[in-house]
Parts: sequence; C-alpha cells; structure tokens
Amino acid sequence: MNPLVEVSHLEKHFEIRSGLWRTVSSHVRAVDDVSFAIAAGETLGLVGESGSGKSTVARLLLRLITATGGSVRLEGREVTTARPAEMKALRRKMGIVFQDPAASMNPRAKIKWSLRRPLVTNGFEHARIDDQILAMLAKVNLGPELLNRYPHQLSGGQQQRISVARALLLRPRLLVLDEPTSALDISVQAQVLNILLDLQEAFGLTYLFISHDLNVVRYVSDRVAIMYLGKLMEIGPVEAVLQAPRHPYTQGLAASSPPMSPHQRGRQRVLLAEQPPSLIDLPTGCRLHPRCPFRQTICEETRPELRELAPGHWAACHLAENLPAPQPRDT
Amino acid sequence: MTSIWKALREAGRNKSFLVGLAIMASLIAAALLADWISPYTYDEMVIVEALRPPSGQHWLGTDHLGRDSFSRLIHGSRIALKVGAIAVTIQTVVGVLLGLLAGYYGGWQDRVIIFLTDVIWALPPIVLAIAICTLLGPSLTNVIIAIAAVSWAQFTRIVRSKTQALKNMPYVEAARAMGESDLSIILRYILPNVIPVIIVLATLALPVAVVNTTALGFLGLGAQPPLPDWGVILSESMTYIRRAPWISIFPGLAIIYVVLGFNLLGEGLRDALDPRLKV
Repeated sequence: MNPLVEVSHLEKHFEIRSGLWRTVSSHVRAVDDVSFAIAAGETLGLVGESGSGKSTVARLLLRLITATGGSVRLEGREVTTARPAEMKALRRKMGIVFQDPAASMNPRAKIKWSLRRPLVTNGFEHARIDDQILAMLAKVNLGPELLNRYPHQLSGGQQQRISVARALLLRPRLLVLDEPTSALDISVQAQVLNILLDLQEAFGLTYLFISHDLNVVRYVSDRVAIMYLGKLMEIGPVEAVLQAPRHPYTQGLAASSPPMSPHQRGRQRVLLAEQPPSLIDLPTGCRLHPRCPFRQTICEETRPELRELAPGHWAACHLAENLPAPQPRDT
Repeated sequence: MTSIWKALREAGRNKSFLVGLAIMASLIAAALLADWISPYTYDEMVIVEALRPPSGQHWLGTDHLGRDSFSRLIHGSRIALKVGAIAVTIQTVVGVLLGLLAGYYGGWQDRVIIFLTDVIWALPPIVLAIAICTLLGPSLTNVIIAIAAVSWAQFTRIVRSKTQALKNMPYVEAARAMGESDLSIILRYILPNVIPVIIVLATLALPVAVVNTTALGFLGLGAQPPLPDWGVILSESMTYIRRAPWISIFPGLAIIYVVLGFNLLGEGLRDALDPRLKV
C-alpha cells in the first residue's frame, strides 16, 4: 500500500543572528534529516522531550513554516514547494489540533464563527454550512447550544473537541495532533482520546500523534517514532519499540515514564545522564553520546544511521545489537 | 482577553473614566451646538466694546476688537475637535496598517517600516510639525497633515509588537492551516484582537493633537485669524495680557480641559481594556 504521507530528509534550521549587522552567527538544527512515512489509516506516534523538534515536524508537514530542505509528500504531491492554488487544495487534506485549546480559537469570535470560517474560505455552499457544522458537533458529542458562546466560556475539553471538529470540517485525510491532550485533566484526556479513535474509524483518518506521554501514545498509535535533538532515533511498531526498545534513548524514555503497574517498580532501568545539550552546539557523532551509559569511541566519531533491526523496526544506534537485553515493560 | 463591551462596563465603574467621558461629552456638545450656545458670532466686532472684562453681557469679556470671548471659545472647540479627530483618524489608519504589515510579514517590510518610525522618533515632534507646516504653507489642512505625519509612529510600534505576538498564536496557525489568506488572517484574526489597544492609543493621541494644533495656530502656521482657534486667540491676546488677562486665561483653561478629559478617558479605557499597557 502506498503511504499517505512521505517525509524524506526533512530539515529545518533556524538562523541565529547577532552583532551590529545581524549576521547569521549560528544555526539551530530543529529538524535534521528526518524521514518517515505514514500509511493511510494508521496512527504514527511521535515522541520526544521538549526541544526535540516534534512540533516543528508537525508545522513543516502542514507547511506552516518553510522547510530548509527535504520533502513532504501527501498522496504523492509535494507539499514543500506547492504553488498557492495547489497548496490551498492540499491544505484541505490536512488538519491540525494544537496543545493549548484555549488559544486555538479567535478569542473575539463566537464558536459559530470559528467553525464557519474553514467552510466559507474554502467556498462551501452557504446553505449547507450550518448543517455540516451541526453534524460535526454531534460527532464530537457537543450540542448546538455552544455555537453562540465565546471560547473562554467553554471548558478545556469542550474547547479541544471544537478544535477537532473544526479541523475535520474540511474532511481532511491526515490529522496532525500536536499534544492534543497534554493540557487536559486526566479524565477529560481519556474522553478526548476515545473521541479521536472513534472519529478515525468513522472517517478513515490518518493520524500523526505527537506526545511526550508514552502511555497515551501506546494507547492510540500503531507505530511510534522517537525523536531526540532534531533526529529520529527509533521507529517501529508501537509494542516492539516501547516494550523492547533497541535504542538507549528509547530505553531511557521508557524507564523514566511511570509504569502501568506497581509490580514493575523493581525493574532494571536505563538512566540518561544530565540534561540534553544545546541545539546550537550539538555533540559530534551520535547526538546521545554525552548522556548514553553505553557509549564507546565510535559513538563520538561517527553519526549512526537508522538501521532495520527487525522487520519495520529501525534504530539509529551503533551498538543496537550488543546492548544489554532491556527488561520487558509489561508482563 | 475580555470582550470590548464587558470592558466598557468595567470602565463604567472607574471614576476617572466617567469624569473623562463627561468632559468629552461636554466638548462634543459645545462643538456641535456652537451656533446655538454662543450668544454672538465669533467674528462680530464691536470696537467700542473692546477689552471689556467678564460681565453679564459678555460672560468671558471681549477681546481687543470687541469680539465676544465666550462665543470665540465655544467656536474654537469646533476647530480643536475637528482637526484633532481628523488628524488622529489619519495617524491611526496609517500607523495601524504599517504596524500590521511590519508585524505580520517581518523581513524587509519590517526593516523599512521600523527605519521610518526611528526617523520620526529621532526628531522632536513639534519641530517636525513646524517644518512641515512651513513647507506646505499655513492652513488647517496642512496642520492635519503635519500632526498625522509626526504621530503615526507610536501606533505602528505598538501594533507591530502586538501583531508579532498574535501571529504565532495557535488560532492564527490554525487559520493558516485551514487555507485562510494572509489578508483574511490580518483582518479577521489579528486586527480584532489589536482594536482595544488602538482605541486606547487613539484616545490618548487626541489631546496631543489638540495641543499641537493650538501650538501651530499660536505660531501663525495653522488656523489664520479671524478663525477662533485657541492658539490664534492666545497669540492675539498676548499683547493685552496685563490689561485684559481674561482673553488669554480662558483659552488656556480650555486646552487644559481637553487634555485632562481625554487623558482621564484614555487611562480609564486602558485600565479596563488592557491593563498591561500601563507604563
């Protein structure tokens, strides 16, 4: 099956200017040579700590910011260089939901206005717009009484469901979810996650699900990609990657995430040293090596490429075959 | 951020806002009803009545040509408010448009516009206004042009920084993701959220415009006699300040009244609409 989204060698460098003439003094490599694909109908989880570049990947996918290099293809059509008319058509196939639901809608406009805009701006027939909005509201379990309220009069969960409804009104094929539940209470999180899963089935959606919460990612994703300092560290089926991680960074992430059951408390844990280094002054070789407990000379000298260690399971680590067997997370 | 109407209701509880509002209302009433309020026309000369002190017949006395000071003062409010309002409207429109452009697009547009505001800010405004009026010739139209030309930059600076902050808000990114054009984003998503700041700035810019109008009138570069511009009255009455101080005192008080009223109004609005603007 052809992938819906193909990302290859995607790069985003931000310039840092300083001095009297505002000359470029250094670059932040927010996203550095990232490649992956998402099959139609699947959910790819994208995990990383803050600053790993995962939100930048989301914005590059939708071309909210311009890529420095590489390509993004949606249904085989290039997104990064599309001309305005083609871009407008491509935008209808992609939606995005942001982390902060309170800031996701124009604070001066009623909900009705925020939901009408995507349809009006894309030339939908006026007579049918209100029906479409009501139908979509029902899909996210909200009633028409919210339409005349302002965003700040809604709860966080309601705001986020409105954001989802708005993103889906144009019937996109891909929905990018940038930490959609991180700002919500734990009980509301579950509610929103389940609505997202129902909608995926109802509309045959493809999700890119960005999160730092491994348990949430595990709940919704088919495959998961792990990012660190702008690079992809590991990618593969969610159970394989999270239960038997092949990259020390993933092992460290898994170890630092709260276990699902108290019986796992005694397990052996991989601990990463200190804080991630600066994005401006990146380590040579493997970006993880200053923090990695298993580092060897090769890690400081050569940058590891992603290698397929098991079918569909890739990791970028020189020592992937020789690491101590990680403890299974759930047994 | 609260809605404008909610903020106005909150401002209604603010004493300085209410006093400012009353002053503004009295000024607008005086300007609109000048022909009915004033007992004489502003240019009717009765030489034998010249330099009379305030009395029942001439409430604020008469000037050196025997014109009724009260009538001239009331008619003067019309000039002050009209010139002030037009100048503030022009500087608001120009300043806000440039600020939105600079803040939204950044890049060379930003650099050019910021360079222009720096140039304007480097020169003392009244000196620049005098220069413009001297160049264009004395008239009320040129006063409006001069005042707008020296005052748009503050609107640009503040709207620009607001726009820079707003354009990275998720709801603006969401708008772009759903295919909204730049123009639509600027007008529908950013401008409505900048309007409270613009209202406050415009209210605070009006007294400055009135003071500048009278200053240019005083220097002979603005309204020309016999127009009852407060600045013109002040400059005409200077010669008689010892013998007939009332001719100078009342236009001076009128200018203070305008400045005080609009500053109170503007500060009340600012506290209600956007307290973070407080310096």
